[in-house]
Amino acid sequence: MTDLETTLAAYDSPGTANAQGGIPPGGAAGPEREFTVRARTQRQIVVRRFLHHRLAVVSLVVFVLLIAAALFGGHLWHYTYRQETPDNSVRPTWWPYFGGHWHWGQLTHWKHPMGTNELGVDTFAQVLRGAQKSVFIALSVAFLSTVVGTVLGAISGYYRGFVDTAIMRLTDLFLVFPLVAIAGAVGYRFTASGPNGWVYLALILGLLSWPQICRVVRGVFLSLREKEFVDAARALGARDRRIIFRHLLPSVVGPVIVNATLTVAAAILTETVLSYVGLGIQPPDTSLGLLIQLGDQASTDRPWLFYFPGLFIIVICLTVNFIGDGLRDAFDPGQTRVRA
Amino acid sequence: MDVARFVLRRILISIPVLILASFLTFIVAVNTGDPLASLRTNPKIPRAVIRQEEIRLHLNDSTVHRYQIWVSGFVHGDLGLTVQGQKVAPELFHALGVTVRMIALAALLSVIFGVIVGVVSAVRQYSAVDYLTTGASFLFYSIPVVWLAGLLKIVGIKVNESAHHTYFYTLGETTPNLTGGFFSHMGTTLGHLYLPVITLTLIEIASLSRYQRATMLDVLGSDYIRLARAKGLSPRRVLLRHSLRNALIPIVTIIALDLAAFFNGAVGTETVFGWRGMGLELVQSVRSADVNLLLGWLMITAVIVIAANLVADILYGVLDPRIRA
Repeated sequence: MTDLETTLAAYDSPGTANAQGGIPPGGAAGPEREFTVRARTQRQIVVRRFLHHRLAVVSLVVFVLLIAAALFGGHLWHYTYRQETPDNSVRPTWWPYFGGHWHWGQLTHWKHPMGTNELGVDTFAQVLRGAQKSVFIALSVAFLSTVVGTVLGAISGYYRGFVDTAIMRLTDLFLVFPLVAIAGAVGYRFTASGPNGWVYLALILGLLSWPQICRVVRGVFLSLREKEFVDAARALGARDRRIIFRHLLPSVVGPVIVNATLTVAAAILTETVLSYVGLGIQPPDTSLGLLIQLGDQASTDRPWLFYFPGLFIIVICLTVNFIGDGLRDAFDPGQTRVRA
Repeated sequence: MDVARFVLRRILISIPVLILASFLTFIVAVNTGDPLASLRTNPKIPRAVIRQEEIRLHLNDSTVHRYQIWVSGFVHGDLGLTVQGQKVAPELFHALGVTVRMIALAALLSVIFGVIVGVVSAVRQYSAVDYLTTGASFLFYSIPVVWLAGLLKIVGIKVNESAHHTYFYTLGETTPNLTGGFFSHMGTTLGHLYLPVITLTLIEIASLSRYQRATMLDVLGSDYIRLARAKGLSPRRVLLRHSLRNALIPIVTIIALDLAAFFNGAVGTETVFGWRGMGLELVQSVRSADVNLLLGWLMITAVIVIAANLVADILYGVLDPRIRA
């Protein structure tokens, strides 16, 4: 049973609510009431519903671990991403099958868990470093596009008229061009110019990926601004700013958070393509996309250089998408699956 | 003539978008870099030659003036010359032909399979099939397109090696220096197409089947389907005539909206497989700061995406009578 149904059922039979631990805040000393259900805030409901989504919770844990590894792992691992070790072209040391036989003893060897390249640089260290850049980019893109998209969408949906038309034409414009092309064209000059290329890439991708979130927010605002509670607020003398921030924005928190989550995955994938084709992060620096490109060149001799950066991306994007799915269910009870 | 007026209005709306788009991308393109950078750093090239090149490429003129030159060519269907001095239009249209071959096939296949997968997983909701396809679509939704392409390349090479026959070509869009007629090339042309098309198709099926599943579930839960069932129609008839026909309509819009995403994917896929298509043109135009080439590229894709959306809107109106009113 979903959480909502539990709550509803509790209203029907107060006894079960007590059995489930719904103790009134006043305790036994409180007044005798017909309904003994603890009131929950919207946030508590969402969090509880999210926690019921097992896959999403597991994904969240894995995702946080991966982010932590990406951000701090490079400092903890015993090789750096530029250090040339004496072991060049080593396959992943733990892989038990090679030379036509199984060597189970290898499973305890973790010196180079992802192998090394032709110069002996540890691939795991490189992947950690690349992931750091990719994760930085993805998080900044999600943050930036969410802020810009929400603000423009709110303005567009609330004020309508000329501003709305202008902003909507702008989103049309953005959706007409392939993101890789426009981001590559705008970004190449900056990414190729110096060591801080990734900052510009994040900035550009962020400023290019807001239209979708803008449309979502605008849609909600357009429908909600006609509702009675907005009229009531206005009749009570609330200004536009108060109506937007206090009355309307809370309604878009759900879709916005879900969309931001999915933007993280989309940004990582876009960065990968861009860096692969040579318009994103440039060689002295590294990112997961660039590592895939370098690995692809050597994929017949040293396939592990190709496999691991890609697997890292897949795991990050998968967990992000599962979290997004869980959040969507948590925020939108209409979409919740009925579980037996 | 309702449709004609609708089309005309939509085209008129798209024109200012295109003009604005072209101007903005022109500003971007003009500032992407110096096309003569390699000449300038080469000490052997006399300054007079560089000055001549600057004049030929209008490098010292104002952006607005350069834009005027470009627009006056563009309205006559002339996309100008590349930095090397070739005509942009034939070069780009050749590349487009190469890319469209891949995109069109991938779009066709992904619509067919995406619809089938989506409908089946909606009809058998929460069955093993549903969970399997949902899992798969999450997976392909999370795979970087270049990595999937690279993986298929490795697999293709393995298959070729073990079969002692080249089924999958992993480099280029055609094999150079082939003799014989069109039909004798069919095998190798297809051999070049398989892997890139499979890459794009798998990734696109992931999102299409999700949309299709959601639409189909909406339709299956609607009142008119309940009515159809209540009337005692056979389940088969309810499914094929009443549900499926309605559930297929939104896919038209979605495939048109996804066209820009197809180009994104194609840029990556082409680079992995070494095709000389739009992906390569894009990378070259950006890297060599070739304004005309880049602008031509962006304009051609923009026109295609706008046209596709227009066609989708018209089709939507034809398929769904409610829109026409």
